[in-house]
Amino acid sequence: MKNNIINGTVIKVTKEYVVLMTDDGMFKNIQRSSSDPVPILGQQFYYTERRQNKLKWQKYVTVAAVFLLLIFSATMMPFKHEDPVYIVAIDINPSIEIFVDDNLQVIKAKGLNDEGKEIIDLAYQDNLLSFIEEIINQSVEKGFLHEYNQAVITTVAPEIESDELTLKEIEELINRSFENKALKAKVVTATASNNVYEAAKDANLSINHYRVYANLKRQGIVQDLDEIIGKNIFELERASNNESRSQQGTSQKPNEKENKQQSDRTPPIVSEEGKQNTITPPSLEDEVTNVEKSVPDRAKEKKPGLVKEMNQGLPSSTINDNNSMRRDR
Amino acid sequence: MADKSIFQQFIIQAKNGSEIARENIISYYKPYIINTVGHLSKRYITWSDEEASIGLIAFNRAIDSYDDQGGRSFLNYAYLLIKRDLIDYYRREKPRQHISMNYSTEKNDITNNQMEVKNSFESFHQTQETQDLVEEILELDRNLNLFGISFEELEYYSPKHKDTRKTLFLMANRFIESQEFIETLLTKKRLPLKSFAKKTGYRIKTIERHRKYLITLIIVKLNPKWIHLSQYIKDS
Repeated sequence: MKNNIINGTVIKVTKEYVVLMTDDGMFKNIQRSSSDPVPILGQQFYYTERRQNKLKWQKYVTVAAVFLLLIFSATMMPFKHEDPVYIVAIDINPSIEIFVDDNLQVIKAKGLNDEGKEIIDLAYQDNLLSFIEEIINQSVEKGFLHEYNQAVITTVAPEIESDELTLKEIEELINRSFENKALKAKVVTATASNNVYEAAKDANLSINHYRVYANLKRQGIVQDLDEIIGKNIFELERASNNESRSQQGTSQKPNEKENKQQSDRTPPIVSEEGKQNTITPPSLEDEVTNVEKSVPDRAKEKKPGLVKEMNQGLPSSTINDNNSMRRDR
Repeated sequence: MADKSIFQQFIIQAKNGSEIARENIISYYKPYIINTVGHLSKRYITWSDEEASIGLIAFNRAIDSYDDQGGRSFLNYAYLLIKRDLIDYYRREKPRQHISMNYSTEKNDITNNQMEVKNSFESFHQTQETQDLVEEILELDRNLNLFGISFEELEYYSPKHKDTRKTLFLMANRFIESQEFIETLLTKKRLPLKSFAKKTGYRIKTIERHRKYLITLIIVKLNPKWIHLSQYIKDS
C-alpha cells in the first residue's frame, strides 16, 4: 500500500501534535510523542502517513460495522417507513422515482421505464430541485414533454413535515421551468402518506400510479387492480377527471358527501395476499394532500379532496407501458 | 508583528518604560517564545518549566537591547538571546544530569561563549521569508483566538476532499464580496450563517461542518498583506 507523504509548514506544536498547514491550504495534526524534538514555527515538515496500519485498523472496524449494520437492519426493518427519506415520484412520459434525504440530497434515482432510465442518465444532479429542473429540460429536449399535450405528476412520500422540502417549492420550480420552455402542460402534485406508499409497494405500482388507481376505485370506475394493468397513468388520470366532472354535472354537493362517507368507510390498505389481486385503497382524503397549480379553467370544476389540476387533455399517443412502471423493490 | 511600524512603536514605548507596550509584545510573541524554548531544549516545554522562564527573561531583555539598525530582525535577535541563556542554564545544570543541548556535548565542549553564540547564529539563520511567515502565523493565531479557534482544531473542520475544499474557497470568496457579512463576522465574531446561506444557496450544514476552517480562510483572505499565508490558500 502506498504511503501518503504529508508536507507542510509547522504552525503550532502542542504536547500531542505538530500542527501543519499543508501546501494546499489544509490543516493536519501530526501525532507526536513527548520525547520527540520540537520543530520550530515556520519550519517545513515532512511526514509519512502509514496507510497500512490504518487499513488494518479499518478492517476490524469494517467487520464490526457490517455486524452492526446487520443487527440494525434486522431490528429496524419493520419501521423502515419511518426513515426520514422522501421519495419523489415524477411521471411525465419518463417515469422516475427519486430518493432523497431530509436535506434534499439525492440518494438514488430509479427509472421505472426506459425513458425514465435514459433521462436519469442525462439529468442526474445531487440536489433534488436541480435534478427535477434538469429532468424537465431533458424531457423537453428529448421530445417526451411538449406543448399542450402532456402533464407532470409528482407525488412526495411520506408526507412532508420538514421545512426543507415543500411541495410548493417543487411545484413552483416545475411551473417556472414550464414558463422558461413556453410550455403549458398541467402539473399535478400531491403528497402521499406512508400507508399509501406501503399500499403502492404491495400493489407493485409506482406511487403516482397507485394514487390514481385508488382515486378510480373510490369513484367506482375500476374494481380491482387487473383492470388498470396496461393502462397509461395519464389515461387513468383523465378517466378519473372525466368521472369527477360527470358527477359534478349531476349532483355536486350530495356526491361529495357520499364520497366522503364512502372513503370514511374504506379501511386503510387491505391486501389479501395470494387470494386475489384486490387492494382496497386507503382513504385518500385523509392520506393524499393535493396541491393545485398552473393554468386555469377546468381545475376549479374538480371535485374537492382529490387531485386538483389544470387540465389541458392528455393524448393517448403518449401511452406508457404500465408494466414497465412497476416498482422493482 | 506583521505591521512593522506598529511593532517599532511598541518597542520604542517599551524601551521608554511603557509596561503596557512591553506586555503587548510579550503576549503577542508568547507562542513563539515557548516554541523556541521547546525547540532548543529538544523537548516539549510548558510555562511551568524553568526553561520557559529563562526564555521569557531572555526575550524581555531582547526588547530592551534590540536595535533595528543592527541589520538583524527582532525574531533572530530574540532567538539568539534565548539560545545563549539556555546554553548557560544547561551548563550550570549539567552536573545535575539535566537534558543537555546538542552542541555542548562531550566531544565539542566549546567553552568560549562568544564562539557558541557565533555558531548558534550560523546554525539558525532563518531567511527573512521564514521570519515573515512566522510573523504571519503568530498574527493569524492571534486573530483566530478572537473567534475561539485554535490551530489544532482546524484539522477537524478542514475538508477531506478536493471538491469540498474548492467549494469552501469559493464560499470564502463569496463571503468577502459582501461588506455586510464581513462586518457581522468581525464585530459579532461569528458567521452570519443563515443570511449567508440564504444569499448564496450553500447548505447550512456544509457551512456549519466546516465553520472554523471557513472563518480561517476568510480571515486570511481579508489580510492580503500576509503574502506567505495567502499562497497556501491560493485559488487553484
